[in-house]
Amino acid sequence: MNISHFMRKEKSGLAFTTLELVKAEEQLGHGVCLREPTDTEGFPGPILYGQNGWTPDVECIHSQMPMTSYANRIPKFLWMHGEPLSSIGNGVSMKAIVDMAPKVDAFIAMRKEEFAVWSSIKRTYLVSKGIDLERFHPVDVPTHVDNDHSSKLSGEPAVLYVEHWRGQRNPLYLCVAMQQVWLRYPKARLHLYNCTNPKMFETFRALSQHNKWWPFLRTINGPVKDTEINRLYNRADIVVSCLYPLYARSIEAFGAGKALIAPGYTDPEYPWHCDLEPESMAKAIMDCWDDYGRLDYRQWAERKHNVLDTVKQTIDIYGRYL
Amino acid sequence: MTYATLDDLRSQLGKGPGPSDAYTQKMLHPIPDAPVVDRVTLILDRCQGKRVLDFGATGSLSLKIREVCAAYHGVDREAASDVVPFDLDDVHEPALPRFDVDIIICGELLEHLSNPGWFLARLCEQYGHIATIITVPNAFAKQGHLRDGIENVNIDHVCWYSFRTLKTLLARAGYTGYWFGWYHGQPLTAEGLIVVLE
Repeated sequence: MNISHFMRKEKSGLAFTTLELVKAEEQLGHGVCLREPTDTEGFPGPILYGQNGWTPDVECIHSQMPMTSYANRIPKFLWMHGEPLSSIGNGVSMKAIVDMAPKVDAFIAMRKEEFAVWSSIKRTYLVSKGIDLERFHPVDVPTHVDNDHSSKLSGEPAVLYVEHWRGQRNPLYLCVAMQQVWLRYPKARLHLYNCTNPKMFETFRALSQHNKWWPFLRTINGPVKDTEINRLYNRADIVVSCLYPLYARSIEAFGAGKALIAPGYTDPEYPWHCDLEPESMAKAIMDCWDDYGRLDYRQWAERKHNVLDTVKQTIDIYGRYL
Repeated sequence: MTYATLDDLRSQLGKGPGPSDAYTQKMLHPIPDAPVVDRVTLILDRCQGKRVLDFGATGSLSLKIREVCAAYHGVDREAASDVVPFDLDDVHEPALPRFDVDIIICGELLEHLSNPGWFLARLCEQYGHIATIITVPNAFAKQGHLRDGIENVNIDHVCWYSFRTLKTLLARAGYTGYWFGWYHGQPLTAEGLIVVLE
């Protein structure tokens, strides 16, 4: 099958997910073309990767599509990368989705928690949210050594937060939760990465000093290089997300063989659940650390979040429209 | 632009539209990895016990070469002991002075020449079969060559060389294979470039 993807060349979870889908499609023997949705005239933008010169069997839309796709009769699918509430909150995305809905054949969602929302707008297919398990994989990390950034993060457990800090998405509740974790596990340490906003940094530094978080809060760092993120996951014991009601790319931690505590991650087979509030998050972190070996997290990723499985599911869906 | 691999594209996410393929091919040139070496040590090691032809035969390096080599022949603007006077920029002089030597040194020479391509073309034609070491100051040296409206450059220099411009000049002169390194500093921003042609 020849599959065309329209994606803006932005640094975002949407783009990372799309690149993983394209890679998996190629691995499974499909033809791919990845291009910018539009040029300045509304026509298809430059090809970013893959084949040129063929007519695709299907078109996959990742937020925008060219004007030419409105009338070309090629089956097309709108991938729902964003959260429904954020899509309304940013004032743009939900309106764009509703505008495009009549022109696409179906939506594709990757989290069952949002299925009801997208289904209210358009026929929606649910596929598993996969990640590239070649990119996110376990690596050997030496035991912690001070100032050695290749060694394991300090702490038993070493808790890592590395999401995109943005407005209400921040690690406040996690920091408060860690107060309780630290009382029970005095060696527990928290490491916050990917803080790119100076005001956010100053806020958390002030909180840390005022609340005396320094015994456990050992890192407030800036962005992590894309090439370093897998190693960073491997340097931690537990990765924590503060997104709710959904989850995003923090499931990459599973690929690295690490536990994930995420209020929005509700798979009933997964042992560690919590709400987005400090008491609940603290309990989940401690329960997880008490019984860390209960789950092989890498195997969990292979079973639940393999992007190759995602693509196989989508190929079945696309096939119904050919 | 179209990226060759998904990893290439991934590394460029969020970095704007990027240059066109045509611009990239013409204007953007990756610099290969190369070591930082001690310029004087490398040259003296290569000259040890050899018959040396030294273009631009002045300065402390030339004196040191004389101490380690088996036979020394110099070429410079002014005559001196074992140094032949010759204008390397003279386009009416078809041949360079001829010597039977094992190695040729052009240390910090090219940037002084008005016609470096002419010199190198003759050098390659006459001595292309002999190991040749060329060193030049690096256009992108970390210390910078411009500050507060003042250029920091030898008054006799007429150009700055980078890895790419030197490579192009050597290729136009007829040289193909080369080894190169940096001297004084770190790769890419070192004080100078050293090229060994053999």
